[in-house]
Amino acid sequence: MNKDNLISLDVRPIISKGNDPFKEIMEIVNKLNNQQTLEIINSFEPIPLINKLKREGYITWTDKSDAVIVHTYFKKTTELKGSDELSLENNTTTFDEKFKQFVGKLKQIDVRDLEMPEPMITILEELEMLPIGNALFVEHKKVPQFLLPELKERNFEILYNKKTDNHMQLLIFKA
Amino acid sequence: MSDLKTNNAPHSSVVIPHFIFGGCSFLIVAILIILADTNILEAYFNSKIIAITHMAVLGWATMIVFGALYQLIPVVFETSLYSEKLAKITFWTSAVSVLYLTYSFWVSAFTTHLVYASVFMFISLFLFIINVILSYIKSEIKNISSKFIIASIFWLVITELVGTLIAFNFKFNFLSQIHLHYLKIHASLGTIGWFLSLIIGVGSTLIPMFLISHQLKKEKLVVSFVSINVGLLCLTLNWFIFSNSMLTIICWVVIVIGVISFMSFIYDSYKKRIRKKLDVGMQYTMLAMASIFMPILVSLILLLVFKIEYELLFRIATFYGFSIIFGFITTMILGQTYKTLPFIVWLEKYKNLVGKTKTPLPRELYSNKIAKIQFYFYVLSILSLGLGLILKNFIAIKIGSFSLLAVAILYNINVLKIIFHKVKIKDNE
Repeated sequence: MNKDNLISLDVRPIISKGNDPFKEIMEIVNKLNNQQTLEIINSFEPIPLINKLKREGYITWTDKSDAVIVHTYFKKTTELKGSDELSLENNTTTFDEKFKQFVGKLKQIDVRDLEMPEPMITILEELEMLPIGNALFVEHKKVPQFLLPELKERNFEILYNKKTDNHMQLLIFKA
Repeated sequence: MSDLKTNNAPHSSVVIPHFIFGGCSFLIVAILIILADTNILEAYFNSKIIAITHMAVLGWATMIVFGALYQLIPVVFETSLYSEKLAKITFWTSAVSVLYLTYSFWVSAFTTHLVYASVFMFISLFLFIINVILSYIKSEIKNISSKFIIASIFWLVITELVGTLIAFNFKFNFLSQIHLHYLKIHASLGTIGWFLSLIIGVGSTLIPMFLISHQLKKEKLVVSFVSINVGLLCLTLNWFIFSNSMLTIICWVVIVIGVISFMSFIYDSYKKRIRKKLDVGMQYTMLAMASIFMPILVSLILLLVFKIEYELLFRIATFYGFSIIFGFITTMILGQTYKTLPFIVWLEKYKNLVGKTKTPLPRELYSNKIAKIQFYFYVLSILSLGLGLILKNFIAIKIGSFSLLAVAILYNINVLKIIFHKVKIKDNE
């Protein structure tokens, strides 16, 4: 997550004054673009807000690692090219959620500077060596059209996160 | 989003036959040039040159383009080809039509066979057009490369309409103007509208991919797209309706701006490339790019020099056609064959093994030595054929045509070597 795209709002002062932070939160939420993430800092997990924004298609996760402060994050669903088609069993999975799930169990590679078909070879070689339960995170230039059938053949799922026209992040893991 | 399937790549049985037929056609073209003998230097458009031209642009260039495009549709449109069955039917009807059409020209059967041959050809090309358009409709990617491809398809329709019109006129004589006027329109739309647009569309995706260059100015392609199509549209209207020579020059300038804008895009890509050393496929490609300047220069001469004797005018016109079909299109296709065909075959034969064991690379499927020798013969052949045409030197033509035959033979050896490659598993080092 990019620090520049993180908008933080500490709602504890608002609540301690006896006010409801809902209106203020929603004002920021409505202005969020695809890259930005909203961080709500609170003393408890704001369940009603999480449920409401989830229904509206936001991705959300909570960090309760601190004993007194709860960080809750909200992000718009980014354009997930074909993720619903390709993740055959779990249609609701999104790139960010999955990415979070694999934190600490990710192997990251960048194939943008490789000549065809080396990106494909590199990805498949890495997948062969990937420990069970881990995922491969790939920086790529485009949707690897000729790799897709082979991933399906080998029982891998792939999720996309399109950064720009020339930059695509792929998350590949065993189905 | 919903139609992004896991398997967009066409089956290799759709693609490969095009390369085989294309290779054979290239060989036939080389043989026909030798057989045409002194006809090549005749002062008017004779049936032998027209036969060779159609064999070259349809049997050789268009066939390979069809095959390559079927493979590239997943890359450029991010969707699968509309119908593989239709593509197979198109292949067979096109193959028969091209041979029939070339035969009709070769034996000067203008009032008998030509009409039927041109109708068959028309239908075959139309099947291809339908397949590509229906693929485009289901694609969600409407980027500049795919727009170029669709524009090129549009110009192919117009080209074949005019071509069929000319063929019918030989039999029924209904057009007011002489054939040469329509032949000029037919040839210009075919080379600039169909081939150049298509090569820009495909090249703007593939060339940066092969050179590995990032962050390119896509705006240059937009300028190129607008200029070429507006210029060509005006030029076509002008030829059919106004016949204003000043307008012709303006259109020429607009089209040339478009071509140069594309060249500038490719030059950026070349400058920013990560992979510094060019392999043989990219050497051809870059040679093709540089050779675009030749037809630009020659067409300028044809436009500006008014008082020129007919004999010389026709010779320059022949050279103009030669510089596009051989200097540009053939060079491009020879190069891109070495980039795409090995990959297609490699993918087919090694996809299940990749990652699990050490596999050869696509470039190891052909003989680099043969490809290199072929390249030198090719440069020799276009230089001597070009000079021969301009200087009316028959010895240069002979040297050029036999070198071209050598190129065709070497090319076919490598193409067959790639297609009939036997799976090899390397020992793990």
